[in-house]
Amino acid sequence: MEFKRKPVTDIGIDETLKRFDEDKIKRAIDWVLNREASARLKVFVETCMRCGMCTTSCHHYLSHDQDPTYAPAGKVKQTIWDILNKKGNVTKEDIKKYARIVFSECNLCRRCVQFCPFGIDIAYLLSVVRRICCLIGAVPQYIQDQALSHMQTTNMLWFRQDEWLDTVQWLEDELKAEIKDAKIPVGKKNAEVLYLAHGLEAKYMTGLLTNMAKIMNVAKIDWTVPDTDGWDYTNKAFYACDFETMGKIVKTHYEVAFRLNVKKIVMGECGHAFRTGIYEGVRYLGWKESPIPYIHGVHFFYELLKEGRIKIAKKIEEPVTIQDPCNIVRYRGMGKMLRYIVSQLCENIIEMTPKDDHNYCCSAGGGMIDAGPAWKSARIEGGKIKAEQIKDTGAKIVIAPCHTCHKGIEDLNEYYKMGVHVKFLTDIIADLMEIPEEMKP
Amino acid sequence: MSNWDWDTREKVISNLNEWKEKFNSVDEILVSPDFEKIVAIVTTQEGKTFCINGETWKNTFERLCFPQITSVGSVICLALRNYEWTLAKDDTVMEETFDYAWNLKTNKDSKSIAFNIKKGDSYGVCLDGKTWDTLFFDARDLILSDDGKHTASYVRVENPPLLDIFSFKKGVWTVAVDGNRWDKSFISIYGACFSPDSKKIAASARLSQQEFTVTIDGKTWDEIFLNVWEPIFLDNDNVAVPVKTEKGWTLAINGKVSWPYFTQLWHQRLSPDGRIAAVVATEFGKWTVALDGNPWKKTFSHCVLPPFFSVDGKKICAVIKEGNTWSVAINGKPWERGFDRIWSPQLSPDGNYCIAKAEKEGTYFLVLNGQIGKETFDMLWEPKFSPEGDKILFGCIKNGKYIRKVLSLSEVLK
Amino acid sequence: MEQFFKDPSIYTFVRGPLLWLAFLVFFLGIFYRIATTLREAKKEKIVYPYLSLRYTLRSLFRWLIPYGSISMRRHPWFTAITFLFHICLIAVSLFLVAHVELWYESWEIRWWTLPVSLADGMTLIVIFCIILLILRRLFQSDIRFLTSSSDYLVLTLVALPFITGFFAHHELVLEYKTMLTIHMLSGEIMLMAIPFTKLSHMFMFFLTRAHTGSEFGAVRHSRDF
Ligand code: SF4
Ligand code: SF4
Repeated sequence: MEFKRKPVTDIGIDETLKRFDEDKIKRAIDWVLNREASARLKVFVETCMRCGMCTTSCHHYLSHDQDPTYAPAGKVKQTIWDILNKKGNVTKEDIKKYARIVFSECNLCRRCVQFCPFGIDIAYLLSVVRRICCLIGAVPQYIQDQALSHMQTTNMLWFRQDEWLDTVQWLEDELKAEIKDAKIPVGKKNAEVLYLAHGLEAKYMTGLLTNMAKIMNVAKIDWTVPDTDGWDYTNKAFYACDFETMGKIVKTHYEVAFRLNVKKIVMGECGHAFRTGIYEGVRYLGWKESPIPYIHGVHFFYELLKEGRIKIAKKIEEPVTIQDPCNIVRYRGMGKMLRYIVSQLCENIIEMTPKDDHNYCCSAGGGMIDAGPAWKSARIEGGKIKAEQIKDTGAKIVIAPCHTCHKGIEDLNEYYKMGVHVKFLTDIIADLMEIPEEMKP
Repeated sequence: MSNWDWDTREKVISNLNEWKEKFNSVDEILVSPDFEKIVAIVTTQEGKTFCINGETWKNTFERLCFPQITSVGSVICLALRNYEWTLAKDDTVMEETFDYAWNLKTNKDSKSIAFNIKKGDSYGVCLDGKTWDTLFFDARDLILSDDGKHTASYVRVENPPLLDIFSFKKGVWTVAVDGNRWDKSFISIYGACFSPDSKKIAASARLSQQEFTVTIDGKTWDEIFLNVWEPIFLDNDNVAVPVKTEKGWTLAINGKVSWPYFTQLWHQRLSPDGRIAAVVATEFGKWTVALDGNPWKKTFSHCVLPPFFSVDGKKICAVIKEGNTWSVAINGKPWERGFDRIWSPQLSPDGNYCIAKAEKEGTYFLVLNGQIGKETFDMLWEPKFSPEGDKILFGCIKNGKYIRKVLSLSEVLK
Repeated sequence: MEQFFKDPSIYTFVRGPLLWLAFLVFFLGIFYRIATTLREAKKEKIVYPYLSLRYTLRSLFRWLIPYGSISMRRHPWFTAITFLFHICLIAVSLFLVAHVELWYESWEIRWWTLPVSLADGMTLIVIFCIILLILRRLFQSDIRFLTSSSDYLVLTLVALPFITGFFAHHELVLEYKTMLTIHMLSGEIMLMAIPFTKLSHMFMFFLTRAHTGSEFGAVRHSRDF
């Protein structure tokens, strides 16, 4: 079986490779294999029995007419096994192929790990290859750009400091039209909750931030947002396995929290940032767990509803289905909380099969959407099975509590004509919740 | 401090309930260092203004942001009026205005006030009313020297088109001091700090994916590390910084590795008697304080905040978190009790007492040497020891009234 | 052993010193592999702190009982084959009368044995399963893509002792003693190969499952099965 792909150009990979000699490649590989990776890499590679139990677990394989080059172990074979077989003496063409596989054909969703009799962490193996690409610099241009922005600004979109502050201030003014004396406290010391936002919510998706602020105000949460860098919870450097930057971002988030003396950090609906905020980034820094609670939007809403801090005025009647984002469900078991929230908001829930922690990835995660337009068709193709899965439910609304799932499924919706609306919980809750009389302007 | 009132045991300074009736909103409550003043941003018919012990400023604004009370008791704030930002200080308004202003800072003696500014599409710093001569495409953060005469900011000196990753990778960031940029630029520059004499500035620089170093006044060290955190000056010439090598994290002084290796090391601080303490993780998930490279025996599971010292440097104290509770550890010994939250503790001048504000289930109280004070408060500000160390002074809110209190140490617990 | 010194021949060599060696290599090899892996796992920093006995056991349980995981339920045939294969393989190796007799001869210990005809059947099942596994490697596209010659070699290594044992027992192809010698030799080679080839999955299984089981169960609050 051959590795057949349509040609794609991405200067982040192609141009970078032109600028280096193969020496650099060897050095990067030796570094990662000898200094960074250790027992897990060795044991996982040696223990794989090539049994193929993982094959059908991967949505890329299923969406590509069962092409073995898309199967989980197949991707491992074509990358890390290849590197090991060649003892690190690989060509630029090889790197190009590896980069393509690890950045555009695997979402690091870890579904395959659930299917392997040995629990071999295929996503980890492929991320080792991402790390090698990162050290060479062969990373998709769009991810690289965002990582470069993160390195200095800690946000993903080269936002200047005043742009954040200014945005929050005008959002507060707008919110006052809906909620009397609404506030978005900035840099307020000793608040209970430090809320971090998605970079895009400060620019293109401000409505989402406003809606979160609305919920905070109605639920009477003692909250604040940062007055400095560190307001953006995204961590795109993680996609490149640029651990240096990833660690710095997570460190900044917790340091803002310590400086403001808050009790916990709450973030919105995003998968990868939750993952870096409680696992990857935290572990890189030496913490076993997050030093203070780092609460995902789903968890936060669950508590608000359970404790009755917000009341839902009416429910959605149209059929809805639930997208389980890998990073919070397979990675944190939030499926039950998510279902509780949705049951409070919607009358008619039709589940996908498989669901919960066995759900398929949206095919946009793990950096595939952040890899940019060049790789869009890769994720659209890989998402065929997701599109079918959603179509089969007959639902009109897909609730996707993750920025990446959200945009990924919107793109699938357009391409596969699924005829659904993709929604965030934040928007639905802000829409459906009761606003007490005294809060109305 | 010695001229503060240490004798009046209890002063009711203002009734906040009245403020809440009088104004549409009362926000951002602050108290002065001597606890004599309570200040809030309030909304009146005319707009936003300050209310200080019940008296409002004459000036009103559309917005008041980043309010502070300086160490000498002045109220300062960045203010928006007629769509322009400026500095307001004790009810006087600076003439010059900006398109945006933020990161308000004062130096040690509070004589100098500086903040980041935006004019048109250019960015820089305004120090005591004077804006940098050169402005930049972006200026982030503000570092003010102790003497209040110099300011620095991270500035963006190249402006390649979006997504031109190769130009960005060459490095577009550097430090500008008083508006003068360093020659070299970096892909990232951070952790800048002035030397004690305010003459030099050190910062951490990222040269490439895995090459980090320190640069002092734009001159980089020869030594390159896998990662570095923020540097500090030990005196006017020597710089200490946490660095990562293949063996782990350690402390480098002037580029030379000077400590053993740890899983993590950061927040190094210099004691009054010239020793260095830092927060370290001796192993994954085991946090403590190391003094001159020797970690405390006791480690803590969740985190340790930056350490600080008693006046003579003999006692080192840090806020720690074990499991879900916060507490304080002094010279390696944690208090027995844990709290939902704890604020930076204060050591008495002789180092024998340590007091902190703490919270449990929404009520605030004092903790002295690990013992919980008997009184609880609706709100509490971090207490201070008298110069002799026999009394403590703090501000609190009870039943809506702001009260300034002086207690002898024995009264805290009784 | 003594027999070999009294009457040195290939048969007594294979029956004596080589058998000793094979067991030595097998046990020491396993010990060495586990020890080095455990030591290297320390460097990973994030392996040990998260290990959880409870979730390791949960994971092992799910993967050691037939159809205990979603993956096995999705692959009913393959699961049936592998379970039969492994059970028969282990049972025949440990409980075959002839094997137990050898232990008795050397150490005067004995344990329960399989009825001869059952053992014979199980041997055939092992051989049959190996044929199926080879066919699967040859004809199922995703597995063919993964397979390299070493995988066939490993299967052959396992198949040989069973084929030769079967032949010897029924006195087929070659004369009994020659066949028996080949049988023991191939068995010994397999034993010695276990720690150093893909056959090491026999014990590595427990290590990888401990890590992944703990990571999924104790840390991520989800299922690894
Ligand atoms: S299921 Fe596990 S052992 Fe089998 S091929 Fe996949 S990764 Fe290898
Ligand atoms: S996309 Fe998910 S299932 Fe497919 S190989 Fe990657 S981690 Fe495994």
